[in-house]
Amino acid sequence: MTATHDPATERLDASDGTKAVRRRILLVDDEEAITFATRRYFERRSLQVDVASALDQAKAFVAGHAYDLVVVDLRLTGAQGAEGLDLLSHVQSHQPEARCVLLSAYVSSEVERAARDRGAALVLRKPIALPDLGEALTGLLPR
Amino acid sequence: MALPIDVAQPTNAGGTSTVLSAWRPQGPRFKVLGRLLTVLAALALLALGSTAYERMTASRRLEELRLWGDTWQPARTAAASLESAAAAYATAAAGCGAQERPALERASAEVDRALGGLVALPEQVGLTTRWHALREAGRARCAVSPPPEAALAALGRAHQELDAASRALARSLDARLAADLATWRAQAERETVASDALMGTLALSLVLIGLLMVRWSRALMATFLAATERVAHGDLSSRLDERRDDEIGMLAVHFNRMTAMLEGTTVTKGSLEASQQALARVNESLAGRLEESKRLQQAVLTAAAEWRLSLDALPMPVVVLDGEGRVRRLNRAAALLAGRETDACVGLPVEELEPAQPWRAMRDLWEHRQGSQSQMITVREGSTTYAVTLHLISDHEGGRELWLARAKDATRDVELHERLQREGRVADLGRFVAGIAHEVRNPLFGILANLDAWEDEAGAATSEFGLRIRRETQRLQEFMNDLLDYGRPVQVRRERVSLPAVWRTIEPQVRPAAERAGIRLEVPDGDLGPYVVGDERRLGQALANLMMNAVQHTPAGGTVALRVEEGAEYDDCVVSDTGVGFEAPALVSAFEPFYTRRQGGTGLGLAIVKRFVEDMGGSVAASNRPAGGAEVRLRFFRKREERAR
Repeated sequence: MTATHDPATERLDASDGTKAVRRRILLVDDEEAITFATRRYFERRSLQVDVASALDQAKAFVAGHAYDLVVVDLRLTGAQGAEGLDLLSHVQSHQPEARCVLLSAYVSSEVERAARDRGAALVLRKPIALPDLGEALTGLLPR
Repeated sequence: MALPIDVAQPTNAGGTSTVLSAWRPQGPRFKVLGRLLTVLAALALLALGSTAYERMTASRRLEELRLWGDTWQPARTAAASLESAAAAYATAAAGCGAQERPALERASAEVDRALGGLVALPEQVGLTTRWHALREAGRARCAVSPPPEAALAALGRAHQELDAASRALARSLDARLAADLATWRAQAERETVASDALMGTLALSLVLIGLLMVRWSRALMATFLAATERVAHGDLSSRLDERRDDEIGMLAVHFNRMTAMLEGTTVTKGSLEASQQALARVNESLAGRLEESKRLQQAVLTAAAEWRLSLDALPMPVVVLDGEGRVRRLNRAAALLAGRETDACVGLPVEELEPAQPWRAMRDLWEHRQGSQSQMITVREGSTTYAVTLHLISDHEGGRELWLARAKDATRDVELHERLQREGRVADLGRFVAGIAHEVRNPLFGILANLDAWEDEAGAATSEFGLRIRRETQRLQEFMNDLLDYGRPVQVRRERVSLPAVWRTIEPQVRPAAERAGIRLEVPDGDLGPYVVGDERRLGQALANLMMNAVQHTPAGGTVALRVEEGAEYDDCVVSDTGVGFEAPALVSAFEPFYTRRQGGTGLGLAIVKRFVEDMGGSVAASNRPAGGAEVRLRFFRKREERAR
């Protein structure tokens, strides 16, 4: 599947020219390779993408801007962390209207339940093809 | 008088004493007679002593009298002789002629002789003095011739004085004799009176003692008579005073003993009535006891029934074994498990109930029983694990030895235990694998995301490089998925699962692959059955892995089949193909992790199958079919309640 054939991507493309308020998303992940490619991919689809690689930085972004969507990696400090869940709680209490997605390399049923309890609208597993991720996120953005 | 009790008495007294000493050793039985005789002997001794004393006194007095007589008689004679000799001397001296001289000499010698007879008397000195005076007067008369008147006068005076003294002595002697006789007589009379009084007292005492004894014995006899009279009239409660420590007391004891025995053995009117009343009471009590006994019997029957019901209500088989290891009793669960009627089981050696567990285990425990020690072993029959215990419940009671054998279905306990162990292990593995997943999938995502973004910006079709990158990352992803499946902690369920339903969930994965490879599929075509007991999702994954594996190892045109074979207690899910079959090492190692024959395979597919099936309590076996091709058999044991199926 390529981006050009994806209806969601097309719709993102379509919104590019409207000068309407740009959707703003916050991407939180400590993997630079991932945030680099993902930011580039979504910015080409007229989204304003902020990237945070640590919990404090992410909270600072949440304090400074209103987001339509927050995509959070579960583990921000190595293989044992679970800061993503804390961030989900933080976002839910500070920006209840923002939609949240948890993205993790290892999703157990416990993690999924915990994320949903903290307001995550979706729980996705890495790796995921960017067109598939785009399609999933599009479904969550306000029309 | 004292003399009549004389010579015979001492002999009698000695005889009495002999009798007493002969009786004494015979003890208290002759106490009364003994006392009586003692009193009599004392009295006799008293009389004897008294008599002896009297006799001694009398003889002493006789002796005194005789001595006095011996003294008095010569003195009296001497006194008379002195008197006449003195007169003769005086007469002879008065004459003092030649012819008178011989008379004078004889008279003088006579006087001396008389005075010699009076030596013992106090008067002898005075008489001698007067004799000497007379003799001097006589000599003086005879010295001068003719004798002066004075000399004659002096002679006359001296003679008179001696004569007077002699007469006085004679009178004195007579008087003393008379006085002594009088004294002696008076004393003898006094003593006789005293002796008479003593004898009189003795006689009176004997009479009084006799009277007292007669009276006492009459009173005693009256008491005994009254007591025997009462007994004669049927009053067997009559008793005598036993406090006396003598024959009377013993007689009373024997009397009382006799009446007590009589009372115990004799039927009297009173006792007959009392017996009748007692009999009535006993009858009443017996009737009550009969009621009670019936009630108890009923209670025992009820209790027995309740125990049987209780035992039957127990879901675990319970068997009571006797001392020979034979079934004595068993509950419904045991009979059901043995598949026999309860009555048909009683008396059988326990291992003959069925040649299987838990009966063999009961037999083993019974054969290796150690005293009263309870023992337990865990045995497995089919999919069921039994915890078999043996307790001694009656140790040789009434010559019987009874054992209680129970077979608890410990399948769940054992499963839980194994699962906990496994989960502990798997949790560690799970953490390990999750860590790997994080470290592998993040770079994978980084690679793929950059590839996606790159292709998106370049707008180019997928290059040859990109295709290879995607294929290799895809392989890595699949390996990670398998690895996580293999290591992920799972909660398997054991439920009745419809195989056609399971097939429908994996068909989208298997059928396209089979079609691409030109393989024909033979699968259950029903809606519901057949069924197996397991976890639907895990069974699906296991069967998908097996069928994909079969498809990959079967040449085009071959067939892969899925079917169920029902056994006695289990259901086998069999996946077979028409391929080359397992090579010899693979038959053993096919289910080990990372064992693979296929290029590009992860080596975890069949290991995952084995893990899932074993998690469900089943087993896996690989074989080659005689007609060619491989066959993998997944065996799932049914739950007990489904075995009858």
